[in-house]
Amino acid sequence: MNKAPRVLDIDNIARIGLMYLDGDLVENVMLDKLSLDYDDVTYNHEQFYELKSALTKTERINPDLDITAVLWQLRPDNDQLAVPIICGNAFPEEGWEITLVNPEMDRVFKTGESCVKKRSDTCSSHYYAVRNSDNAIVAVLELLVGRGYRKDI
Amino acid sequence: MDIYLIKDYFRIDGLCGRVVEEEYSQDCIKYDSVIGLVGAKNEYVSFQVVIDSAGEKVDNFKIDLSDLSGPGSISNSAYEVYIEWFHKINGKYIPDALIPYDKTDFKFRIPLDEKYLKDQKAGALWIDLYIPEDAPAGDYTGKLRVSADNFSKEFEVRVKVHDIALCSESKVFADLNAYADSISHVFPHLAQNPNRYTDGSYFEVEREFYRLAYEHRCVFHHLPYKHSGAVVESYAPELEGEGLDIRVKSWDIYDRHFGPLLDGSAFKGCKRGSAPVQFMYLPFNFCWPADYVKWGKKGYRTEFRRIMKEFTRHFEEKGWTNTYMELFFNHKKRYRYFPFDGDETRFQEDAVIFEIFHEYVRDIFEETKAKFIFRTDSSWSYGLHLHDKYIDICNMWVVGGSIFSWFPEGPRMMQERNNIVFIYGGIPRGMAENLQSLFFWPVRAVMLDIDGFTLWNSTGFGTQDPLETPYGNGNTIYWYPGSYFGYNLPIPSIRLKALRNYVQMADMMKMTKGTWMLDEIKDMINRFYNADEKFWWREKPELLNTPPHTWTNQKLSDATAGYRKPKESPALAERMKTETLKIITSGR
Repeated sequence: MNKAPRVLDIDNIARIGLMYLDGDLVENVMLDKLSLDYDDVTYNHEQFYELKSALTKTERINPDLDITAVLWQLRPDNDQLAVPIICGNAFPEEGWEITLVNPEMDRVFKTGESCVKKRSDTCSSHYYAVRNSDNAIVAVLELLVGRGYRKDI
Repeated sequence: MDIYLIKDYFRIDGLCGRVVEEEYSQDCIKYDSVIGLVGAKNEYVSFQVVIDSAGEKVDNFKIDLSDLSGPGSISNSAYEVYIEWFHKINGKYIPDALIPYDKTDFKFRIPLDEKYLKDQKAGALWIDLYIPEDAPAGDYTGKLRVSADNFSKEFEVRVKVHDIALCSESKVFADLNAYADSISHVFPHLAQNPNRYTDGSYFEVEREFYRLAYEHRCVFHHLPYKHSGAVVESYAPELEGEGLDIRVKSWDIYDRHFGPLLDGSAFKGCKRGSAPVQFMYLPFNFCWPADYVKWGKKGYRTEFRRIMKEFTRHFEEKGWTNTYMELFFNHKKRYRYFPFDGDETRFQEDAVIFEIFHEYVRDIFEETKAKFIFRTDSSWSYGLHLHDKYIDICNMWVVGGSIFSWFPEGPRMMQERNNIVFIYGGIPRGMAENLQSLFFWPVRAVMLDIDGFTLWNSTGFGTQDPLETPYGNGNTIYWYPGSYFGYNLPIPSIRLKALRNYVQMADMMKMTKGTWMLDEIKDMINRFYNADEKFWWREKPELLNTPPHTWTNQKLSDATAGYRKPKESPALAERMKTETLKIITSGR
């Protein structure tokens, strides 16, 4: 009884968030996509502010859900590796470093269909495709719900 | 069974009874009947009692310390006794945690604990003696009697008190940095209490960290927010409204948390007298109090400034005008929360944030009677920022030691602007290291003519049991939870005691600033280290001709590869102290 409305809530939140996440900005916000040195990460500042603001507003649509929003991209040189390029209020479960793309996220990158990764009885990651003005998938929006705390260093 | 005394700069391996610092064991003297200590007034001196039972169990133990008599009398209440706890490091039992002898029900025995230390063969006690400020100078003697089961031994403790009083205020700041809340998880009574930030239990424990630091001539520095910008509960006042309507709704939790530290009452009863904590982080960051969603818009500036103004007004009203309150941005862009580094700026375009925030707070900081300052932690860009506008924007600089040493002009330029300078980094300080590695920090602060040094993490407990083998062999831990011993507060470590003793010496050295004595002291330090100016100030490397964002860790490592780290006997500390006292007494 409880699950369906909640999932619907998250999908609606994602729909609103995606309206404000400009895929063209997402595409180029990280300037050194090929760097493996985490100290080398550089961003286009203005694009970052726009996107971070959209993530934060998305997180706040329903404060009761305590959502963490994260934007993911695949590395151009290895599509098995995913990079959290902008974090909202916390890290995703995988942390802040480059990580192996999980099957659910991979499916979203490949098909554009949203997907849910269940992490525990209460916690799940909801993935949605982010598209640019050419309608190409350029990132995945993760909305993490039900973790119960905010992961940080 | 053997009972003997040793000085405070060696340690005994509880597994075998030999000296931990085997390489220098010839310098470790076992005192069988008389031990001599030298100190100034208002100074702690220390030594250790070793009980080597050769593997036999010891169940009954007693220690008696008499008053000391000489030109005056020093009460035996000036002694503090600690049971040394051993940790398993590299096949040794190395002592570090110190259990207060008379504050818990935990008793000295061998082994101390069947679970942790079943193979223990030797035990030890750490003994501090505080020389009161009003003790007449001269030679004092007292008795020490130790009984272990049926064996007992009496010693004479001789203390030479010089006619010098160590300053109560710090001249060299030993900064023990930490990241809130990094302590609750190692205290079960806090970890299990969701109300710990409001019911006073967390404040009680955290305050003891501040007290321990203060009593050991250090400063506990607890960063109040996460990399995301989220402020830890109780580390900021409650706000309401936004934009032009933003205001502090209640100071209650903030004042209860920090008031006693800022007015000094938290340090009542400390030997060097109570005084407000010298440095503290502000909760201000990229996400507090201003809403980061408003970044770049006028509302962000409005919110940041309004609450900063409320802070300075509140501090003035409370009379909290003695603590340096630091506006510091610890955020790093590699954690993907923000597009620029607030900490350790490497890309020059990121430095613009210092200008932005300086513009927000400049007039507020200039107008207030409270000591609000703008702090930066800088290494990559230190050389560039030293010579541009940022030296005037930031008032407090915490700089990587190696890079700092490339710029001998730095201290003078900073002093001309009344900037505060600390260094950090580099020298290992885990418990497997010779205590000399800690000694080098305060000595370096004296030689470089700077204000202090930062040990970047003092509560990095990680998830390992600190009583077994601490995380990183203890290189980010200077104290321990006392909970296992029935004491729900932090307890000190041998390394914290050693650090205090070394900072005392550095403070004493710095008391001579502006006199010929400091030059003599610096010459003496150079003789002991077989060093000269080039040891403290390094030649500028080729690397400096390239922009910092192109420096890799490897390039930095190559640029500092030839730097000799001092590797000396732990006994050097005593030799240097003796010489320092000689120079100062001759100067008087």
